[in-house]
Amino acid sequence: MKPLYILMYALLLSITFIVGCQDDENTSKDEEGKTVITMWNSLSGLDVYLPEIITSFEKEYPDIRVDLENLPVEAQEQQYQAAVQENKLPDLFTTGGGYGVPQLVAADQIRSLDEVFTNEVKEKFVTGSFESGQTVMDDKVYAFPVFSPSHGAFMTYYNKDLLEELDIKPEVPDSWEGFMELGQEIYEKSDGTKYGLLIGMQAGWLISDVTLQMAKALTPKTERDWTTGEFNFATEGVIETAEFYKTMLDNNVMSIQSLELGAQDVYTQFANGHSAFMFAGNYVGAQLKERGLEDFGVAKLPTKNGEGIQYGEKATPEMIAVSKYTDNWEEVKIFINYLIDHMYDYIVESGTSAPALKLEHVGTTESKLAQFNEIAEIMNEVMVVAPNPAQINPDTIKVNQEHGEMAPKEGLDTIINGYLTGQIKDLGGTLQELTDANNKALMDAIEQSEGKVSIEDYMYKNWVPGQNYVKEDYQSR
Amino acid sequence: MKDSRVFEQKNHNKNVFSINRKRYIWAYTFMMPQIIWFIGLSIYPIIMSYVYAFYDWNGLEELDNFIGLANFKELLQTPEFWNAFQNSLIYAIGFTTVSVTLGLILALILNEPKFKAKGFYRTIFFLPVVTTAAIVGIIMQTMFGTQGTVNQLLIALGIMQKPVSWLLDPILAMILLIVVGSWKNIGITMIYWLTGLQTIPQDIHEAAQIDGAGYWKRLRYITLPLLAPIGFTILLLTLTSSMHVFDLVKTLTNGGPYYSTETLELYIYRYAFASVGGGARTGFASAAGVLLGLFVFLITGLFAAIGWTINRRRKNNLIKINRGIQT
Repeated sequence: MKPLYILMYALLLSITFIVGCQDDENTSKDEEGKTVITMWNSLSGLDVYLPEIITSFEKEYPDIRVDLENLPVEAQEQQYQAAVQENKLPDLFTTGGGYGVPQLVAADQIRSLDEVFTNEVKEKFVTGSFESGQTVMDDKVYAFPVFSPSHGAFMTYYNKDLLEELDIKPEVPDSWEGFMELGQEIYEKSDGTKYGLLIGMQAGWLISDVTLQMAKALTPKTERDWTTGEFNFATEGVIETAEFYKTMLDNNVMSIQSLELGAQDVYTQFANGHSAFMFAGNYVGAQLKERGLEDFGVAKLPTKNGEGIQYGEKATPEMIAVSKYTDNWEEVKIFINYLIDHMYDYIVESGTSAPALKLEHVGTTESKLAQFNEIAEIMNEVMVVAPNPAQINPDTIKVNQEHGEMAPKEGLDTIINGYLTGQIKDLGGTLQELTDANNKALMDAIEQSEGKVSIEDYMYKNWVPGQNYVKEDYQSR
Repeated sequence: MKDSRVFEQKNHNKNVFSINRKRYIWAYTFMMPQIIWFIGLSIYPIIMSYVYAFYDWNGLEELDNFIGLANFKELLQTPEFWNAFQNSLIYAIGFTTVSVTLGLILALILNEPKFKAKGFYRTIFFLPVVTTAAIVGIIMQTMFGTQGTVNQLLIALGIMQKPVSWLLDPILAMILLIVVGSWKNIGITMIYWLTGLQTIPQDIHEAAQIDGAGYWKRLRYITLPLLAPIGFTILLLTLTSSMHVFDLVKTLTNGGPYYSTETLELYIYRYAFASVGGGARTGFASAAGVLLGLFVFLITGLFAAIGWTINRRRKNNLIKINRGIQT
C-alpha cells in the first residue's frame, strides 16, 4: 500500500472516530418519533411545578416531548457561557448566568417572540413586563417574564412556632433597636441554642439587595442617584446597615453561620427552627412550605428608626427566551402558549411570587400559601419603577453592558462580608472605592459609545427616590 | 564479488528502510486520532488563550477589539491579581512542604520490611487521591463550619470552650486549605517516594548494616542521597500541580474570607465566568491565565536547571571518586 493511501486511510479513520464519538444532540425526534424540545430552568420555584406543567402538556400534545434540566443557581454561569459560545443553548431557557436579553441579542443567540407576543397578548401582562433593554430590544419581544416586575422584594420571615415556644409575642419590630432587644431575648431564653436572625451571606445577590433595601430607608439616593446618573454605595445608609449586622453578630442576635451559608442552606436552617427571623426574598415563602414550615409570618425589613421608605427597583430578570438555533419553532410556540395558559396559575397557586400575567387572566386567584397576600402586599409596597435610560436612548443598553464588563468584580456583598470578618477596617473608604470604580466604568463605557450616549441620558432631575417613575415623568425630566 | 556484497548490503539497507518506514506509517496511523484530539483539545485552546489575551473580549461577541498589551498592563497594576498570586504562592509552598515531607515519612514507614499490612495502609492513604476534590471541599466545609463536626468534637472533648470560625479567619482558612489539599495529595507523593525507595538495592543497606550502620545513619548516608534525583522530580510535580488548585478552593473557601484564599485559578474563573458585577472579561481572564502559565513554566525551568546542575555535580563527583579509586 502506498504511503499516501495509508495516510489518507488514517485521516479517514480519525475523522470517522471523531464523528463516531459525537453525540446525536442535534436530532430533535426521539425513538418514538416525538419532537423533543429541550429546556433549561435556573429559577428556584419553577423547578417545583415545571415538571407538572410538562407532564400535562405532554398528555395534551402526545407528539411533543419536553426535556427539562434544572440548573443549580450557584453553578450555572459556565453552562450558559459554554452553550452560548457553541450556539448550543436549549430550545427554551430561563435567562441566567449573567446573560440578559441585550447580551443574548448582541451574541445573536435568541429569536424574536413577536409571533406569539402580539399586542393583544402583551396587554394581558402587568405593566413593566415588556420594557426596552429587559425583555424587548429594538421594539421586538425576545423573552417573556415569569414573575411580576415586583418580584425581588426582600422581607423578614419569622417562625411563629419558635417564638411561641420561647413565650415571645410573634411580631416583628420595625426598628433595629427593637430587633436587637428581641434577638438577645431569643438567644437568652433558648440558652444560646437559637438565634434571632439568619441571612445567607454567601449568596452575594441576597446580602447586596437586603442591605440596599434597608440602606435606602436611611439614605434614599443609595446605589444609584438618578438625578445625577451616578452610582453611590458610600452612603450613611450602607455604612450603618453594615454596622447593624456587626452589632447583631457581636451580641449573638445574628448567627455566625450567616457568614458561612448560602441562601438555600439558610432557608433549611430557618425552617428547622435554628433562628426566629430570616431576611429573604419574596419567593421564599413557597420554599419554606416545601421544607415543612407552614406557620410563619412575613413583615417588611426593619429600618434604623422604623421610618423611611425602603425600596427596590422593579425589573424583569426572570424570563424565558428561545434559542435562535431551535429546529422546533412550531412546537416551541405551542409550548409557550401552553405556558402562558398554565404556568401563571401554578405561580399563584404555589405562592412562589406574583405572576407577570394580570390576575384577571390567571385561571386561579387562590393560593395554597396562606401568607401569599401579605407577601404580595409587601412586594407592591417595596418595589418601584425606576427610570430606564433605554426608554429615551436605546444605545444606553450597550453602554450598560459595557459598564457591566468594566465595573469591578468586587461587589457590595464581598465588602460587607470582608467588614464582618474583620478584614476591612475602613468601610467608608472601601465603599467609596467601589463607587468611584463604578462611576469610572460608566464614564469609560459612555466614552466608548462615541457620542451616541451621554451622562445626561442617565439624569432624571424629577426623580423622587422610592416613587414610581412613570411615562409622563420622562417628558418633564 | 565485492560489487555483489555491496549490492546485497544496499538491498538489505533498502529493505530495512522500507520496513521501518511502513512501521512508522502504521504507528502514526494509529496515533492519528489521538494527535488530532490533542491538537483540537489541548494545543488549540492554549494558542487561542494567548490570542484572546490581546483582545477586549467578553466571550460572546466578535473578536475584533485588539488592545495589545492593555490586559497585561492592567493585570500587573491590579492589587487583587497580586493578592491571588501571593495566595497561590503561599498555598504552593505550604502544600508542597507538607505533601512531600509527610509523603516521604509515610513511604519510609511503609517501606520497612517489618511493617505489617502495608497494602491496607497504602490503600487507606491513597483513597483521598481518587476522591473528587469538589466533594472533599464540600464535606470539609460542612465539617469545619462553626456548627460543624470538628468544633462539636473539640468542645465535647473539652479542648475548646467556644466554636472556632475556621473558615472566617484568613489565616485559619489558608491553613485549612493547605492541610486538606495536602491530605488529599499525600497518597500520590507517598507512592512516588515508595517507587524511589524500591529502586535502592537492598544489598547496599545490608552491607552498611554489616559495617555497623544503624537506621538513622543508613537513612542519612544511603537512602536520602540515593532518593535525591527522584525527590527533585516529586518536588517539581507537586509544586506545579499545587499552582493549579481550583476545585478545592472553590468548594471549601470560595476564595474567602475576603479574598484571603483566592488563588490565581479562582481569580481567572471570577473574570472568565462572572455573572455578579456584570459581564465576563474573557480577554482579561486569558491574560491572567497566560501569566499563570508563564509563571509555572518559569518555576519548572528553574527547577529543571537546578536539578540538572546538581545531577552534573553528583556525576562529576562520582567520576572523581572512581578515578581516585583506580589510581
